[in-house]
Amino acid sequence: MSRYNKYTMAVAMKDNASAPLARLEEQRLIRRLQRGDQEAARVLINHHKQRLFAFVWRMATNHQDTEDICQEAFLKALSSIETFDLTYRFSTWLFTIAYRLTLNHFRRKQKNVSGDFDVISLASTAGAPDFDLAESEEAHQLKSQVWEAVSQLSGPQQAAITLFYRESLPCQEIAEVMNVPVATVKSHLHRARMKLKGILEPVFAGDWNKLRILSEAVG
Amino acid sequence: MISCEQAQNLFDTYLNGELSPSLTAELDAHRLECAACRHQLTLLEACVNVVHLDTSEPEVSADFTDRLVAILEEDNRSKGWLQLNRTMKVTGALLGVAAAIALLVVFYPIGGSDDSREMAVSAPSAAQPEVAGAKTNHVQTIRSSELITGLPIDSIFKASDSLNSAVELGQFGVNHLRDSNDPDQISFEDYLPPFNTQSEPKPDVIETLPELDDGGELM
Repeated sequence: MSRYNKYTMAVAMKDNASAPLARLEEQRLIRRLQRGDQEAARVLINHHKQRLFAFVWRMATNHQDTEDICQEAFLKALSSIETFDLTYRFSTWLFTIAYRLTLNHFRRKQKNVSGDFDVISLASTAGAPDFDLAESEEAHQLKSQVWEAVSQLSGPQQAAITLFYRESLPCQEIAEVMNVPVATVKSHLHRARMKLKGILEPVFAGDWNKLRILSEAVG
Repeated sequence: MISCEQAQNLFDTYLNGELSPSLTAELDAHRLECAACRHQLTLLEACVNVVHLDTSEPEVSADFTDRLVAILEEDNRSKGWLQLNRTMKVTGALLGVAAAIALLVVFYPIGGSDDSREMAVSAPSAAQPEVAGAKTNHVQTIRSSELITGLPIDSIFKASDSLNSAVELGQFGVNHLRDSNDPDQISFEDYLPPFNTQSEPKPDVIETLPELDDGGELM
């Protein structure tokens, strides 16, 4: 392994593996990959896998299906990396492929995207509750209710909300991922918020204490 | 101060992070005064905060990267084999062309021109003494070829057809490789039009044949 490879690997291991790559670092990795360096592929996969997995899992809600979709997305992206235009973000391309694969997956299965969200497994993955308010049973329950409401959004609304808030992508980039105009993305965000408000307003019903618990649970 | 309706119209722009500082100040002022709007906006903020900050998704499998890199390496090996296979096909096409040239040299050693084929099809006519006289030499040429090779005249015509096919094969193979973007889409049959079948005379060749009245056979 060259000195440069060692340096990159060290940086990749030191940093949070899920943290977005700096633009220049990403471009360097892609150039190395285009020259056939498989270690660069490993670094790129490690940087993006958990974020991509989270994005797809919020829609697919099944571990195996999510991993299959992520694997296919990576394979499609990396196998045609020779033709990748470095003026674009790799993550945008990857999320675009994953989003379309997820939609195809649902079409194949003829399944409603918001049909079978596994709230119990979601709550159980958040760790054991303790007496801290943020980690209380009620906080977990409220978070689960929010995610359950998110799961009732349409596929594009879920994707827009997740990419906007989780991935912090600007509307322009979300439009590229979803292959729709920016105005449509904003419309999806608006409708998603209205729907969330409609579902959750009866749950919270002017109860400031619940809102405080929820805010602290994620704060 | 802005009204509740005006404030609620600003929610989306505010939550998109696109509200101007002056309007943000207006909205904040309204929020302090109006409990209903304050509750709605806090609820929406809490929801998007859950999406933004709650990373309770399951982890991607530990061996995800290794599996993916292994598949990529396998794919690269397959691509290498495909490349080799492709090279062999090109070589085969070039060998076909070389064989065709060799056949040309063997079967048309003396003044081998297109007229030979014409003579082979039709007998000379008394109504066209000049043509008939000119073509007598070619008849002798073909008969000489027959004597030299010891093959019947039909075999010589079959070899001539094979020659045409081989030349077409060479052109087709090179053009196809040049035009094709995706090597995976190229099948072996694409390069190999049937060699063994007797091709029909091409319409343009038939049109150039001189009209001879009796159409008698040479042999």
